[in-house]
Amino acid sequence: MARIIVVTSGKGGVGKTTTSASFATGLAMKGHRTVVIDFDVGLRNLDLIMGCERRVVYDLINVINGEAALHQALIKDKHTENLSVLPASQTRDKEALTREGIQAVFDELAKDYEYIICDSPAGIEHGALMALYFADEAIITTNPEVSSVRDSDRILGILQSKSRRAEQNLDPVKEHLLLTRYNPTRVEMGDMLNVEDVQEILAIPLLAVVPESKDVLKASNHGVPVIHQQATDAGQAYNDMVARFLGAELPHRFINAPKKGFFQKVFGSRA
Amino acid sequence: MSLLQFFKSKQSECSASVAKERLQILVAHERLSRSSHDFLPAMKQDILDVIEKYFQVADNTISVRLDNEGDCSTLEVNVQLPENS
Repeated sequence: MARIIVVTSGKGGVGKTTTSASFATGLAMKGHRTVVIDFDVGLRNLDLIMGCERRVVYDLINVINGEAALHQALIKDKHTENLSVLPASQTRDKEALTREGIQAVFDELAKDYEYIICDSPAGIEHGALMALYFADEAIITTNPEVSSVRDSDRILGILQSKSRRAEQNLDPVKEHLLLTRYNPTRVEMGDMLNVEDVQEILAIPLLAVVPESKDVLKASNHGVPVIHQQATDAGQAYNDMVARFLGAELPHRFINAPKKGFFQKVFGSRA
Repeated sequence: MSLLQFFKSKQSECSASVAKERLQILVAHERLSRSSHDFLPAMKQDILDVIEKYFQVADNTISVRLDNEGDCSTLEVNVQLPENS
């Protein structure tokens, strides 16, 4: 049975696509057959972050409408074995995204893949609801910032009432908190909500903390998921996230600000 | 914290704790309205119908609230009776 995992947040710009790309890549690097699907119909971007934008021929909507076979739309990742990308449509009508259509695509994917990662669009409209409907687990991507935390709580409410598991009275969707763009220095200065605050408010288990990092932008410039940059904090944080998701018990990292030298202490530094 | 920041940061309460407090209140409120049950309006009407047999009351003089706290739920029914009853 394939596991369906939605990467969602409510709010835009918190790192859903970055996370979907690195999480799916990480699972594939560990040898799990993984497919990552862009649900942002009209505004596809996962292809850019995965670096396969020039190889898109058919998309999810084409498959749902029967205009292309699933294997024609799937793009095999160039960097990682076991990984495929299913892009979103750029132009089509969002309403083409139907439950029945998605169900049929998932059923077919489940024959070949262990993990189906759904990159949700922002908001709580049709596309976001479709992305989370079939989920077994949810990665709630949250920034330590008031509007993001509030929107994450809204999304949790929707997962608990409008997902397939909620509607059919099955075991609830397993929720994971992923705190992204975390800046430990600002947390220590009292300018940013800390991990414990966010966890206390949302009351779901913490999967990982990804620090705010310049390397995320660099990675998306290159179209290579940041998890490939294992020398970087963000890359290592995503690696930890994947390992923990697969059951490893690792201490949380990137929560504390790096220790400063004497001169930095006296004169400050640009964080 | 640098020496410069030490002098700068004294001036105000740290903003993160303000954010936390605001969020806690907001999220608690929004969760409550989310979990408010669908049957409440119908139940309110039924209660009103019974009361109307004995008193003349207006629609807006009754409020029905269901609160959940931990494993305890409380139903609060508030009826304002007319003065001349």
